[in-house]
Amino acid sequence: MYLLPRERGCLTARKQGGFVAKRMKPVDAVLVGVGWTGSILAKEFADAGLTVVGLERGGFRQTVPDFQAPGIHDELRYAIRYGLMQDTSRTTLTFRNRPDEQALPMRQLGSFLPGTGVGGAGVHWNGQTFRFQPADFVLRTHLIERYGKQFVPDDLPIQDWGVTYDELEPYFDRFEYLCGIAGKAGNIKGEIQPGGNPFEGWRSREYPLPPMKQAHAGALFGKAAASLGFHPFPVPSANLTDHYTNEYGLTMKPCMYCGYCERFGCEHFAKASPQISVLPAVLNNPNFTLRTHANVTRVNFDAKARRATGVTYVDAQGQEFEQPAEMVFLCAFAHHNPHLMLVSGIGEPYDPKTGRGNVGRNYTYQTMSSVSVFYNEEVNINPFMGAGALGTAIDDFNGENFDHGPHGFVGGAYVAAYTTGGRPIQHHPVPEGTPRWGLEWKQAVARHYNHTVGIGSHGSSMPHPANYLDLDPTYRDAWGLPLLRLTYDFPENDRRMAEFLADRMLEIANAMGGEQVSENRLGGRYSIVPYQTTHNTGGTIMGIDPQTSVVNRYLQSWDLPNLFVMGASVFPQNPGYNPTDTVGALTYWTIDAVLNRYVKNPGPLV
Amino acid sequence: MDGSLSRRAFLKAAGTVATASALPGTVLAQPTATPRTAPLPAQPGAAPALFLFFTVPEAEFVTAAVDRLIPADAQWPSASQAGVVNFIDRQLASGYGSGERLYLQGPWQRGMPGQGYQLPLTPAQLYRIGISAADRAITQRFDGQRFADLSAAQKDEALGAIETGELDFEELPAPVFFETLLANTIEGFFSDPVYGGNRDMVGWRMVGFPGAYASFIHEVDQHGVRYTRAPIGMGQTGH
Amino acid sequence: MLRLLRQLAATTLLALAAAPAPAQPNIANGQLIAVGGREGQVQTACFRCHGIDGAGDSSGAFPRLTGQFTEYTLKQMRDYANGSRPNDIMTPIAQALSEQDWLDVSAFYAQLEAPDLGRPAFDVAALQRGADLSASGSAERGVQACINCHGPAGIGIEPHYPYLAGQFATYMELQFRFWKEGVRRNDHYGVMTDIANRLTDEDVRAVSIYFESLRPPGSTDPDLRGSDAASRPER
Repeated sequence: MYLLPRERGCLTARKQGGFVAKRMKPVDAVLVGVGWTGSILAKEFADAGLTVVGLERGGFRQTVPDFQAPGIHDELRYAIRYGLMQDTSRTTLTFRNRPDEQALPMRQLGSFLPGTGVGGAGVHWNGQTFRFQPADFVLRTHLIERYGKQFVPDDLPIQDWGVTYDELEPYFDRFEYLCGIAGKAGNIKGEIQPGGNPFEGWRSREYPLPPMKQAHAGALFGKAAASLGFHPFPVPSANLTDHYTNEYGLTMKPCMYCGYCERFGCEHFAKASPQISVLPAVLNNPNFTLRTHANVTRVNFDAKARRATGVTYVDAQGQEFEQPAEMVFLCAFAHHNPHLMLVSGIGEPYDPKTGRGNVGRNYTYQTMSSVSVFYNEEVNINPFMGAGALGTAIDDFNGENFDHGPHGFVGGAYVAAYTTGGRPIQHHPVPEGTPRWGLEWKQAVARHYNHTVGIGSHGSSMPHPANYLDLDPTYRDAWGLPLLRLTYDFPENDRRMAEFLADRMLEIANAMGGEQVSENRLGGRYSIVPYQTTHNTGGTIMGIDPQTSVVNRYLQSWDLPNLFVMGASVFPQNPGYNPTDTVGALTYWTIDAVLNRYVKNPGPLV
Repeated sequence: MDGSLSRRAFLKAAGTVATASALPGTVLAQPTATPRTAPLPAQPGAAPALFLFFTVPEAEFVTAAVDRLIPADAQWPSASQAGVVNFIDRQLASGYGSGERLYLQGPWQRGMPGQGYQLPLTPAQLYRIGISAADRAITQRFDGQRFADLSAAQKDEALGAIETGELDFEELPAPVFFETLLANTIEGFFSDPVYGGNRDMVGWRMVGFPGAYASFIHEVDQHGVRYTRAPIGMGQTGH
Repeated sequence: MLRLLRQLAATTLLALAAAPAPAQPNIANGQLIAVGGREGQVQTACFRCHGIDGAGDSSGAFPRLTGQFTEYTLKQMRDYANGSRPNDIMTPIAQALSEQDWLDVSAFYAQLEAPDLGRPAFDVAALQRGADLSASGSAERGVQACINCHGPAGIGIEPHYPYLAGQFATYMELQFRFWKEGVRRNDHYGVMTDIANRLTDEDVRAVSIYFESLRPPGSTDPDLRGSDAASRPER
């Protein structure tokens, strides 16, 4: 359709660096990346009798011995030097706020932390496992119906997803039962459940495990929020609360609240991840081959550009391989899937000047702000007694849970008090007005470390025509490919949303009984430097119209029907929740379509 | 370089005062031999540190600087007393110092703050050049005195001028050098003692962080409990 | 345990308001119970089996108590009494004592020291296997490292995770069997039951002798240094 065939797309092995690409034995499916989506696809396809090769750019790693404490409890190595994450010396992206600026390389990680290695970011995630709302999947339609056509700002290319919540519900359920999510249902088949999130979409049954124990910070937040008439609930968590055996016969174990989830692997088999929830059930299947240190450099397609023929990858020795396959699945991080589409010349790159093209369009992120409540020294918060998804949240101001009519913006956020761990290089809160260093700073750190609660708003991100991904004209990665170029700043809509949420957070914070409150509102321009979130989305968005999407509602490429794109790069915009549950649901949704329909009759699934 | 802007953003805030409500603390895990929050005994016999990267004058500069960033007080030692200079020295002599994970391809442009670090320097190079540039600029400003020989107030003035960029270096932006030094100092004060800083876990004791051995399933919902077990580091092998 | 701690906490809160003494261990009473000297005491004195210094013996039935954390031993007394750790000898003893007595006798043993008489020589290959399990766990079995919870070199982590260093291998092997058979059910969330079910007898033996081979907390140097490392028989 918008295909731009290039020489590099040809099937013929070609010379590069003096080596001839070695042609591997053809398989039914090749997976680019072995994180959450790649692992699940591998398991389901291999069980169905398909031959599958998984190509992972990083190394193999598993709970024993790689994640065992005390070695894994090394804040410097893992949280500060990013031991489990993407090596920016090999590949990174360039960044600018606006299309008329010069993009420069992100020379070290900061704002977000993609993984590298088997399990991907599913190793170092926190495990906060929310479903998106029913309205999120039909956002444009919903907004027009509820507020009228003029309400949706002209400059926000908000789209429907092409799939509905009701269609995805069984797949959400399946992913949550794969992980053993610990939570309290708020809505079972339309009946509101006490103790859960009353705003959530209906679910067919209770969570597989009861919610986590509530930490002190969450209790203080929940009490204050309830006193203001809001509806606190325990955050749904992939940090398990008991022994649990999933559909693949894999047993996970209860969380010990060690406070080392985010940026770390779990030593206790207690954080759902590809390593413990999926891969042991497929690694011994002869239908599946895992190749690590295999960096895919392009998707190949036939001379007529009608179907993908496989992928080319480079191993740790620099040897180039061609892996032919009947089906290609892009299962890499949300940045890398659009990158691979762009460097392979599949689909028309988005051009913000003309508005033409879809690959790279609707890059969205998340809009975060926070407040800290400082208590007197009698109130011990014990921030180190934590877990990645140990939190208490309210959803009163998320998505369509409140009337946006008077406010003039789209979207929202959940607000939560998390206790993810008190590792002190990163966690040493001090009140506003404290110097940044010196004796006064030091004494403030000692005074406030154990007596502070942070609450945060986890805000939605709406698309904007000037926010997009394309290829950088200047900078290249270790394999000679152009870097991805990210152009992004917070849209005015999201700034208004964040301000509204910050006001609500301040009301709650002031009711929490502290001595002092400090705010961290969304500042000026988006910066690539401070960590915000690894919820990068969009760039290969899904939809029902090939004019406005890259993949169809089954995540199948409009251009090459045997190419599928998994993960958060298919989100048309990013709601105010963590993405993994929806990524998992879409994975099972796609598997269903592929195994029950596509494999029997290959071609466009419409 | 690491995270310094996020800390700054965190500090930027508007304050309001709310009513305090005290939750009385209860005590769990009475301290054993070394109470977690007890001050460190003086250690006159500490072995002299051998530097792997710093020259002696460089080490003197860094010692003087980090001891203003984290000075000693009546209860807790200064950064250098906690081993932070040795920590930074070893970091610079290791993969971090050589920029093992930095994207170091040109062309080089200064960029905007939101685009992050854009110098063609590894951390080791940044220190080597930065210390020399700082000492030279400070010597000019303070009538020929070296940084390490200034009074505490003068050192604070000099560091503040580097932090804001008021004191300009020709070779590199002074604030980038400052932020790197500050971030590494905080890392050294709070990272596991195996890296040479946080000596005797003073950083952890100061705030009450129990260290690398951690399982709090029994305590997490005992809200307000005073948890006093002494910290344990990764390198501890027994008693 | 948690309930008791909450009771202790409540007592402390009460203490702030009305200023009576909070529940504190009475070590003298603990010692009296340990030696069986309390007036009208009907249950067996602790020292008859565990030794006056708490050193226990290698029979497997009588663990070392010297320097064990008060809270851990207290929970075991409670669990002997309530049946979640049934034991023909200890259950009646625990049931005959009060909650304050449990605290007192636990605190008494917690503050004791005993001479380090050395450890027997063990098979080196088995020790290495045990050391691996202790430090890294087993990918094959799906078991995490022991030291995650039981501390570096098995010294325990206060207040809930007992030390294992220098504990008798025979005792630890017996406890693994009890967990496996569902006799002992007092571990939080069945963590030890799960581990016991995943380890083979050889694994259990290896990890048990590894921990016995380490110097236990509460050790003092013996008067006759090195003279009787073989005072325990080789096993």
